[in-house]
Amino acid sequence: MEQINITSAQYNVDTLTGNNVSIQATIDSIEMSVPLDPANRHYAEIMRQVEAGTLTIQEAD
Amino acid sequence: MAITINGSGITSSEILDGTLTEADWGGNQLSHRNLIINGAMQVAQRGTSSTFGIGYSFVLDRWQGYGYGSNSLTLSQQSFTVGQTDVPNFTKYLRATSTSGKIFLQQKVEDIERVVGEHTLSFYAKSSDITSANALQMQPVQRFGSGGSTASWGTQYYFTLTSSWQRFTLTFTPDSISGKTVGSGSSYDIVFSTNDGTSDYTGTVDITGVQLEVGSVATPFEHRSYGEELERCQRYYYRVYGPNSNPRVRLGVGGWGNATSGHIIVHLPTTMRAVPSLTVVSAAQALLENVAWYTITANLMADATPSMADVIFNVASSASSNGKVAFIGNGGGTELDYRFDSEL
Repeated sequence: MEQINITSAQYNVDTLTGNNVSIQATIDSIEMSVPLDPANRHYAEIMRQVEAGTLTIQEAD
Repeated sequence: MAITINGSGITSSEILDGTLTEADWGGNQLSHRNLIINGAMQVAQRGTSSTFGIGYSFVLDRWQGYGYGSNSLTLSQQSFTVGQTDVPNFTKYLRATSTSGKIFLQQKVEDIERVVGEHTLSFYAKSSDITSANALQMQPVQRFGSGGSTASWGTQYYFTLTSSWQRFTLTFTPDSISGKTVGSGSSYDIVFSTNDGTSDYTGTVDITGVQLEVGSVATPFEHRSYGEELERCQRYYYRVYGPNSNPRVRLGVGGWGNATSGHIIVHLPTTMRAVPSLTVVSAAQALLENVAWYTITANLMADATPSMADVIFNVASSASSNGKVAFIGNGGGTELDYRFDSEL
């Protein structure tokens, strides 16, 4: 129960600064831009899966 | 001369000598009692009906379902018959239908520290086919947020539905959170499911008028206007939608950075709970200085706060546009559908 399926995650970069500004992720089959905010539930779940070793965030192209 | 309010015995002398106490109105505050948002099931920004499979999904604002099988759970907004008296003063209810596994429906009340001490839950519900004894369960969950203590599932409470609307009430005291660590995104979850402690039930449940309030008294449901309820919902979810025809809807205004991309600034209608995620269901078109429209090929969110989002759009190519004003909008047969999500 309560599984959140994340099939892809890649950083988005601000082309002016070169900094990572969000994560482009596919969560439960929906593509979205996820902010780097620990209070955002999508970001919190991404980081939980990263820490669990089940997800890797790809660097921006 | 004594003044009596609702027969509760409040007299003019009590008012004049300052002895009017909480007990005179039942121990509850007079307004803003209900911690549940969209308890009357009025607001449905995402749409009024959706069927989904394994995983979480929202349909009516703030009410999250969980599907246990492929296309197993349908959540929909239903309208009462005009003039009905079964659930007086309500116009909408939520219908949950499961074809595989139990019905799971929850609302997360923001900030666990708001739900401490004795509380009373009340709601109206019925079912045409889940009428076994104790087949509707409510189990609260204490979630301590990112970096907080481990979530704790509370006592299970049971209700028996019939085919007629009933108002159910439950007074309970959440487990103490003393000594716990509370992180960002904490919540107190009201979780309904069709499980009697042993078996799951498939079928249909109708529910509305959900209220969670401080104290031991289930006061009458606190009706709020649609506008006020929508504003509360938009703290967690905000959808900008325009059809592929009129009315014309603009997401925001910004500028072109080069021939293939630009930035649009979106001012959110209320401060959201957290920086929202952005889902673009229909990418619409980007307008170059009221001269030409270009089909958007991709969107992403750059900098954002709970009250503002900077959306970057990309197009295949455009005319000379560097530094010129840009809009994102619908029209020309193109729909616009941008969704900002900061739900718990």
